[in-house]
Amino acid sequence: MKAIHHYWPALRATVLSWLVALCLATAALAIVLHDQSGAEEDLSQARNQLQQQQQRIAFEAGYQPDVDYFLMHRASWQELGFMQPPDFDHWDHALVAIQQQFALPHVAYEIQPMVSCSVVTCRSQWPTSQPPTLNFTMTPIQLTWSVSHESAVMDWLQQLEHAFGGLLLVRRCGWRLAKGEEVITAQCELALFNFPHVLPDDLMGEK
Amino acid sequence: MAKQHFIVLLDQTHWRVVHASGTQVLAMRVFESDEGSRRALLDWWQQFPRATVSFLTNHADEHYHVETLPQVRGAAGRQLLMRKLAAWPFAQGMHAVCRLGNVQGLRRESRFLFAALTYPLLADWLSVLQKESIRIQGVYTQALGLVCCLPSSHGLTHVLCVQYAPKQVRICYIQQQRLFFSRLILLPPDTFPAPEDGVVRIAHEITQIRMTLIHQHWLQEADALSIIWLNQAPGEAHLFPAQLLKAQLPAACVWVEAPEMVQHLKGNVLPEGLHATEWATIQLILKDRPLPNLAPESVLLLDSSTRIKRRLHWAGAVMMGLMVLAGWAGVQAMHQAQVQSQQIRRQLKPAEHIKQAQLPDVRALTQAMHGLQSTVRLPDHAVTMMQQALTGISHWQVIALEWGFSASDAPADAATKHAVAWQETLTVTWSQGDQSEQAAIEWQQLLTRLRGLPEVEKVEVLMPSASVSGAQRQGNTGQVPSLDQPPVLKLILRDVSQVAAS
Repeated sequence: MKAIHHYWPALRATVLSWLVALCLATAALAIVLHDQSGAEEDLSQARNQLQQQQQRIAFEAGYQPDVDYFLMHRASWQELGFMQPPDFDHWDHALVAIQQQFALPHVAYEIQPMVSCSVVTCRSQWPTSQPPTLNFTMTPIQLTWSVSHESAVMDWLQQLEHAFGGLLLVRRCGWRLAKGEEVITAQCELALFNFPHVLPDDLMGEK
Repeated sequence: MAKQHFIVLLDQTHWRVVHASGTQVLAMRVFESDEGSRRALLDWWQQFPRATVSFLTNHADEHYHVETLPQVRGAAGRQLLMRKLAAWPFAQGMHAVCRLGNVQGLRRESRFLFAALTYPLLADWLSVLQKESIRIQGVYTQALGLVCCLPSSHGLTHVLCVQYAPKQVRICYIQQQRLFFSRLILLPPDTFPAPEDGVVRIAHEITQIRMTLIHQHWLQEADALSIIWLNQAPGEAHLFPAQLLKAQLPAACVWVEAPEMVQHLKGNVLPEGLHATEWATIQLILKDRPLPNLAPESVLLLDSSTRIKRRLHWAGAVMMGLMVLAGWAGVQAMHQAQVQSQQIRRQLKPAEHIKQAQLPDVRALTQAMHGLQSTVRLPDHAVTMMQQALTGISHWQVIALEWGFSASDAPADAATKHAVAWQETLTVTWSQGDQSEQAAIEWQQLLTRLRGLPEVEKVEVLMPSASVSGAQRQGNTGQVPSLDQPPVLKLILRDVSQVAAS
């Protein structure tokens, strides 16, 4: 202790300056090592992500055609309102718009209340052998025209079908020549299928 | 640059100063011990601010004393030693303690040699030097240095070294390489005019010393005392006294030829003005070998603090270097990790926000939409076909046309409900323009034409009552329908895609 007491005044400056320098260096080193560990952690996280992505890609490979088809058509389905319950106002507008745009004969329409369907209940309503496993709704729509030639209805229907992405099922069409008149009464029964809320909104995107 | 060192050989009359750089002697100067000489010496040293100064004394005021203490370990032992040292009257200024070894008496004891130099002139001057910031490495005595530089190969237990100089003689008793006793005897020329007188005095002293050693129980009566004559006189002057002493050696003493100090110096040339033993001790000092240091701690402060500072600088620099190295390695590793993670992230595709759990639903929806889209039919195809079939038919007119797309009515499909096939049907209600042979023929033609169409799977002739309703009714296709009721034809169409494929 005595020796330390003797030497301290002479060595104070040196010891303190080295201590300060070493403390600074230690702090710098600690920062560097901390950053390094952060970078290492980031790297391992990235590796995990890559691995997860590879697993996901392997899993999704089987679903890829469906996913591609879905992503390709998602926006249009959403826009056409297939992912919501049927919007009758929208229908009004759509029918009027087609009417005006193509100068086609007048049409009277009747939209019936929608029917909620599950796989079992609406088997006969669905046009393919395998009805969807999702819950959907079916809305019958009846259109009635008075036309001079039966093919006038065809353009109309084509326009409507085109406007709804080819997803409007035409179930029945009838033409009848009214007695004593030169007009044909045409009547078509359509079925509109909707898939409201089968997929979460974030997946479907904003409408 | 080699370390600058000044070694002051301090004896009774004058100071010889050796200036060395490393182990190389640059100069040797002789000074008197008066004030002016000291001033000149200080001026010389101040030209070398980094040089260190050592004192090597061979002075009559050196005192040596052996103290035997009970062996106590640790701090208590040290305190006991310090108390004993404080009780020694010479331990006031420059002094040192060396451990000599253990003695097994009634109890186990340790022996220490106390060495002191009571030379006020030097003590005062040391403090002056300290104030002038001269770095003092130590104050050593030649007697203690001699033990270290005597060749150990002699294997002698009891040695009495006689270092002979013209005006003085130093007698050291060395037992098993340890100094126990040393004394300087002055031989002033006025008292001892002839070498013979000096030799008589030396012989007398040897006898006295031997009795003292026996009295101290360091030497037994029967033990032979080996006398080694070390010459410090110039030229051949020592030969005569040596022979004289050898001739009249006291009882129980054996003459041993002096070892070759110069050989022990390993080929270093002996500088002029120095004796072999002095030169050997100087070598020890220059090489920083541990020698008992008599200088007070406060005097050594400057030198040792400089050394400690140097060590601190070294230690600090080494630690700093290691830290810089570690930091550099850390930065490198970090950089590499960053580069790698950047590479990996570049491979990562932006995550599509379809979760795995949602994929089956997506598939179901997609398949539903796809199925719907591929099955949707418009009546235009069937109507066009009908129009083509009617070309050239003038006796029959269509009054109602019913196109349907619905599940098949076939009983086979009804049995297996899982595979319900949808088909297009076209139900045509006719009116006959006139009842003639021609009309009947046209009817048959029409039926044949319709049956021949690739799109038509089946043609049924229905009763008029069943015309519009979808009820199942079987008719006879070969007959001409009765004419009072409008005939109805039901065409079951093939799947367009199947027709295209066939």
